[in-house]
Amino acid sequence: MVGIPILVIVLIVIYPTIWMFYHAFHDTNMMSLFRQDWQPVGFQNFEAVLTSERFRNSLWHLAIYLTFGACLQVVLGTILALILYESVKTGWMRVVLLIIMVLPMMLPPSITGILWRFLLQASNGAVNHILLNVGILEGTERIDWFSVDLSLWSLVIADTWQWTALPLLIVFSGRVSLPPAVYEAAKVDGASGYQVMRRLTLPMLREIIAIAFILRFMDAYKFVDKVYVMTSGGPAQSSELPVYIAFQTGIREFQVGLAAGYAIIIFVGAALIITLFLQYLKRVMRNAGVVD
Amino acid sequence: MARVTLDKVNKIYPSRHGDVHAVQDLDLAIEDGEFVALLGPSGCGKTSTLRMIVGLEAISGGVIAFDGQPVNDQTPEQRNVAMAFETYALYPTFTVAQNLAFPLEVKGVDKATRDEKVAEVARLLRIEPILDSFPRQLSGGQQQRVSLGRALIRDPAVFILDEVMSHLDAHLKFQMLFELKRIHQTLERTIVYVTHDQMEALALADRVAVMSDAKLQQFGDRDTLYDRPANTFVAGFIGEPPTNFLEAEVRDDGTTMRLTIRDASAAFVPDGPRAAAIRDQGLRTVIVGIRPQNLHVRHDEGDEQITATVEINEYQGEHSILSLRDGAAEFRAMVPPSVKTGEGETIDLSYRSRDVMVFHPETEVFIS
Ligand SMILES: Nc1ncnc2c1ncn2[C@@H]1O[C@H](COP(=O)(O)OP(=O)(O)OP(=O)(O)O)[C@@H](O)[C@H]1O
Ligand SMILES: [Mg+2]
Repeated sequence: MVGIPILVIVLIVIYPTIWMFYHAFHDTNMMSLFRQDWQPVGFQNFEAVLTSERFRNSLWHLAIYLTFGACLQVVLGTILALILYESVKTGWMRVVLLIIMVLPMMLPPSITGILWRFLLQASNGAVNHILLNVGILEGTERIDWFSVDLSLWSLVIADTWQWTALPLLIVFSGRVSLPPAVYEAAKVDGASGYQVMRRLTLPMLREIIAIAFILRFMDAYKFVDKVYVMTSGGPAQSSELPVYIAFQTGIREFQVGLAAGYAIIIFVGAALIITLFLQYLKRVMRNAGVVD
Repeated sequence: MARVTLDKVNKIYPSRHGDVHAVQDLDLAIEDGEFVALLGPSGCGKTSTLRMIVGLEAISGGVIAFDGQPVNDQTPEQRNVAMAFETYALYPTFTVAQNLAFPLEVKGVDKATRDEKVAEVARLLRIEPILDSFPRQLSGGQQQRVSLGRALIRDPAVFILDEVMSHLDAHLKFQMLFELKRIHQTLERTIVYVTHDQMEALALADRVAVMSDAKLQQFGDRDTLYDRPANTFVAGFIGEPPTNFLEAEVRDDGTTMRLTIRDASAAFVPDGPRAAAIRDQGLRTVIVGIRPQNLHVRHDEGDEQITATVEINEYQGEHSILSLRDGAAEFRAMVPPSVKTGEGETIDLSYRSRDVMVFHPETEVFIS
């Protein structure tokens, strides 16, 4: 009985991983795969990745995307969650509002991407229309959301629209479970709303917010679907992210060896960042007394 | 400084299984600078009353006034009250020192003064060694003292203290009671102190408000509560061991009245005024209340006497408790440990007729 899960794990996790590591050190591509002869090339694939300007640009895009995507979502989500908690006290109203806010999260990311590709269209997209109506744009002025300068930001917008509800949900449930007695004590002590927020609520929610951020970060790190349907990394590779390049190289161009090199470097990067996060989380949790 | 008056105050918690009437028509007038204890069994509405005084709970009916000014619509901050919570309610992300300093911090008190006050309160409450700990690292009794300290560090119109000593050992409790009493004498602030421990209430308070079943039973100083309890509840609640209650029939020949215990041979003789009151009300039966402390083995001039059989002689160090039987009636007496009367033996006990308390058989109200 135990054998079956192990077999499954070997088949879907371990075997492909070994396969990937093997080909990362070979010049495997469509032709060599077809002919079943590939040559070992040492670290050439990794060298190619690390020296490529395209990869370095994509790292920069990733940094922007993580900062303004994941961070923005967590900050927005936290603010919305706290506003929702403070201003809506009726139980069913809260549920209704939460459901509405969570709806975007329930769409498949690719569908969301397509939706936003339409909304952000330069000539007759809804967003430009609204900007026109409120007077930010005039006459024939249009914002080209999929230009070199803006296409990465279009991804950030679409992703934020879809995922802000996740940190919102997490922070909201965290806020709900904070002890009411502490707030009563603060009220009796005469603390102002700002003092309560700054000195009590946010510090008490610190671990929760950190967890929400880590979740969003991990998801954003492997973000690829919206890039694919919205911008295809363009124009001129201006919205390419590392995972998208790996995907392109491997699936589109069938340069399996190079793609494996990409994948391993991305994997190592992820492992490093997650380790740092876990260190941080452990420290935070130790401070909060969750673990020893 | 404030005089706190409660006028027909009610608290009703709505709930799906019918409303809970937690406080009913409570009248209480607490003088400025007075130390008042709110005493009563668990669930009688003490915390609800406090929370309304503080302003954490809406008042369902009636008026609470500070110095004659109604405060029903004021926030806790406007009322300027300090409260120590039954559940401690410490700030989990602050150290003990930060917890203590927070009420001062929000008022904009400078750091030097804050530190000074924190040190002073910490010394008073014996919590100096834990100033840098977080609440989760503390024992119940330590948290309780921090919570008390966070209230005492302030300079409010009224201190509201909810069961602040329930988790302290006897020795520490004794010290804290002493400190609290001294703080009250120096500051002369109004203090409302909730407890279900009568020892604390009687030791600390100028006057004690006894509550039961959401209602105020009696409000008075310890002698009044002890000698003239408003009803059988107060008589039974105040005093340890509890008062003996015995159903009795009134035998009256016009000059002497004897209250004969039902299904027993003993009879108690009430003092003159009480006999007159019973006669006035034309009662045929009454409830007799006699405290175990007031049944003596020593016989003084003018004392009355009863005889009973000892069932248990329980040695308790400074005194012994005799469990006694007379016919179907059972009661207890507190005697010196030198009394060695054993099981099955009879004993003569004396009492003063003015120590015989008498209550109405139906309303259970004290007859004076
Ligand atoms: N928020 C609430 N909602 C509904 N009922 C409540 C609420 N708070 C208290 N009660 C009820 O009101 C009554 C009085 O409660 P309260 O807490 O005032 O008692 P207490 O005298 O402080 O008891 P204790 O000595 O156990 O602390 C209880 O029957 C309790 O169940
Ligand atoms: Mg209580």
